[in-house]
Amino acid sequence: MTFSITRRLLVSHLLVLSAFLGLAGAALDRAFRSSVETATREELQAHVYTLLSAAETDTAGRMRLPTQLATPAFNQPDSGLYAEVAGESGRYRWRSASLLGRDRPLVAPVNPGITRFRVLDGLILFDHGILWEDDAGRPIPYVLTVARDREPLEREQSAFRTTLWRWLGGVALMLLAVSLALLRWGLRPLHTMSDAVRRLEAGESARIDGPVPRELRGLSNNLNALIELNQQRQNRVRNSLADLAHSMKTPLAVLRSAADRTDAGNLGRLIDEQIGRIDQIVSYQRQRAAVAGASAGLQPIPLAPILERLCTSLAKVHQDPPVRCEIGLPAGVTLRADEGDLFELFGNLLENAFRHARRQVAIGCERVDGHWVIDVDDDGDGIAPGDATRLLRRGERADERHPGEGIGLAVVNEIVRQYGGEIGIQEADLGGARLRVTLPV
Amino acid sequence: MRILVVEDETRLRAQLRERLEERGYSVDTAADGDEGLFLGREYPMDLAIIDLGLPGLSGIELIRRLRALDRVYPILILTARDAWQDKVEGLESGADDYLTKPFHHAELLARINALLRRAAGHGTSVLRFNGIEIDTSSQAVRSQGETITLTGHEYRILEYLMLHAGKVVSKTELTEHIYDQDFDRDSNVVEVLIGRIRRKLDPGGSQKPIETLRGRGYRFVRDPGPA
Repeated sequence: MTFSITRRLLVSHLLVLSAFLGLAGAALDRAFRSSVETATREELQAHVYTLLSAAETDTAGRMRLPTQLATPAFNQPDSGLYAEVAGESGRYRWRSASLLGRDRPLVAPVNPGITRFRVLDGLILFDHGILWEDDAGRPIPYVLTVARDREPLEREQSAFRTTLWRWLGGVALMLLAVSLALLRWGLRPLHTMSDAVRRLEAGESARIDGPVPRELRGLSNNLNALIELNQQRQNRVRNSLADLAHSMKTPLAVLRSAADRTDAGNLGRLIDEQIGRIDQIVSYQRQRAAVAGASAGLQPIPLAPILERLCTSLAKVHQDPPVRCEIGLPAGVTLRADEGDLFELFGNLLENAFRHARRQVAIGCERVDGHWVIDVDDDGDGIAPGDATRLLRRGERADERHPGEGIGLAVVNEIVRQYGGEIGIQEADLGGARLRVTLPV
Repeated sequence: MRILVVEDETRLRAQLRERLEERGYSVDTAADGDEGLFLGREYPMDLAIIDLGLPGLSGIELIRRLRALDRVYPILILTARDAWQDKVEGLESGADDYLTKPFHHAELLARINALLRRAAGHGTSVLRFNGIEIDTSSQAVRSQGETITLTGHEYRILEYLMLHAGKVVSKTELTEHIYDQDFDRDSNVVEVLIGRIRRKLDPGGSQKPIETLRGRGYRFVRDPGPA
């Protein structure tokens, strides 16, 4: 399965974006937490020093703390800041007034000179072991523990987190929008290119034109070169076939001329007949190969001048009796086709009409459902229904059972099919045959 | 009737000359466009048969130049090229008809006949004046209902005079149209032939269909005079 370039870029953008923002968020969260922790430690440590500075001595010189401390939070029950001091092998224990109603001891043993943080039952605790020299100079170990409710910290942390993720989400959305816009802008040459290729396929242009970014220039140049090469090759095949056909005609003419003599007898007739066949096959294949067909980059060609030139030429040739040709064409009929094809198509149709006409040939044209319906009528004897199919397919067989019938209509059929059209034989209003060609506009 | 044939293929050229001469036409041939232009310009042709694919001056160009020089005789294109654009271009350059190779001689002769007749302003193949009738396609001649047998040269002279009935045709013109360029112009063969035609058409000498205008030429009488 192949994803579109847009989808690939979008998915990878999303992945990178979420990974980056997720990691950044996690890092910020962590940094905030550690800064809060550091601040708390420093605060608790400061409180320990406050306790020490508030400490007094008893008569023996042992450490004694006053009931009330200078920091009001220690004196107010459930203030969130607590302190406990224990020492003298458990014989001395002091608790701050804020611990009123709480029985659980805060102090945990810690060696003198050591500080330690702990978390216990929604409290953050800071233990500080000291040695206190009494008057006798004996060092007495004490542990001072200061605690703080964790809950305000947690609240602060979660508030920060909420803000953080909101901001990150906003940034993510913004980046996504920006990257979508960038994607659109960055991929625009590709869209232009694919449009150009589509126009190429639709036959609206013959090559890839317009400004192409450097990265695609190679591709478009190669495509154009390929198109050109293809056209050249097609032309070469067409030209060599035309040369072959034309160069055969003169020797055939010589041969026929020699066989045409009355004294040539049966052999002469045989040769003449076979030359007729060869001529027809060669002509049909030449004309078939010459059909350019609906290819890329065909310009719309006005039909009227072609019909007028053909009619003038044919009227010049068909003067026994003179045939009148009426062209009933709406203004501005154009066909997106090769000019040579149009000449062959209507030349053959009109010659057929002129040959069968008594006095008149008429061309009609109408636009029906996105098609040009073009009628070529004559006032001759018409074409029997049984002959229609044979006339249209004659070139494929080229037999001599019906001498005098040209391959013209077979060529017409071939061209019309190449352009996705249709041809039908009907009866004309003039009384003769109507050849109806339907071609897409 | 004098016909110019411009065709580069030697054998076909020879065949055309032979066939046309058999029918009593006098034939000048050229193997390329330049020679064709020279002959078509210098001699009074009645018709030209021109191949399109010629070495040197192309067939189309040759036709254009002849027309530009006011050579108005009919031109028939005889070519291997059967594309409609070629046909239209050929006819627009000034040709009157178009025949593609390989052709039947019967077809070619019929086309030549029709072109010559049309050039002389006659719509049908039968010319009838003064009780004398010729069919230019079958070359049959009848006088007062009787079939007359003429030799090829006699027929050509009669046909030429009848195609130009009512007009004076000089002896030089007749000679040039009946014979090719090698003919000895000083001979009295035209007088001899005219004499024979008169005797065959009008044994009694009462009709006098061909007038002699001394020093000017001959005239086929279109409408019998009141006498």
